[in-house]
Amino acid sequence: MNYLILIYESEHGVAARTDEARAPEYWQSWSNYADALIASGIFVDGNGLQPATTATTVRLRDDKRLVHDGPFADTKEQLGGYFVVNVPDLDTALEWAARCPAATDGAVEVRPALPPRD
Amino acid sequence: MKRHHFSLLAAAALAVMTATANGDQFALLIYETPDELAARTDDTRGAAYWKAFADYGAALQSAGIIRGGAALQPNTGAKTVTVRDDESVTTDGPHAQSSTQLGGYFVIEVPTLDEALQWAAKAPSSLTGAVEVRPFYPVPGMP
Repeated sequence: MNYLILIYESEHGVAARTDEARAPEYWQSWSNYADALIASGIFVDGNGLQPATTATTVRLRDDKRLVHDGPFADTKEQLGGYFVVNVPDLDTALEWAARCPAATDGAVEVRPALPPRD
Repeated sequence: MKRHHFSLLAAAALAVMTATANGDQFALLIYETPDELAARTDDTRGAAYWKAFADYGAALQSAGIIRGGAALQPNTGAKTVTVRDDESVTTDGPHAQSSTQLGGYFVIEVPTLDEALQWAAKAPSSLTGAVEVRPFYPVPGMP
């Protein structure tokens, strides 16, 4: 079963991406995590997102397109990226969530995907 | 109705295999109202709900810009994990509480943000919920 691991990062965490002193450690921790997911054969997909300041939200009301700058949900921690993992059960997904670098500073949300029908 | 979802994912997988780089990748985050999410399993509204998303997925596919996507179970099934001082704490529910919830996402590859916004406006959830467009961050070492 596929689970989406939503990575919520603190501002401090996101800032580390481009901080000369902290960036190597930041990227190393993510690279280690992705490597571990791949090595266990559960990695399905994953991507990092640009900071929430680059988000644009679109609504369509009465055939009019309403566009505003910024993310849909204003939260202290922001969605910094996600992984999709294929694991047998929610407990296993939660174990992987706890190993995610953002868990120590931000939060990691686990959501089951809708199962495909064969 | 799950068949629509499956064909959408199959289309996405096919698109990934045949992808050619012709722009930047964006995530279209699909935010849906409780009413829309209820339509998924509603006998009378379910067919129209899934058809709208299947049509949207098919349009992304014929445009050759779909790179991935998934639909999510309602956020009542969400769990949130935080680790503080080496202690892992799991709470029920999503990290961000809102009446309109993340119902799924599409990954598309298009030349400009403007084009991504045009596609966002065509997503079924833009009518009652919202679609958030986020550019990808090129992550070193990701497959």
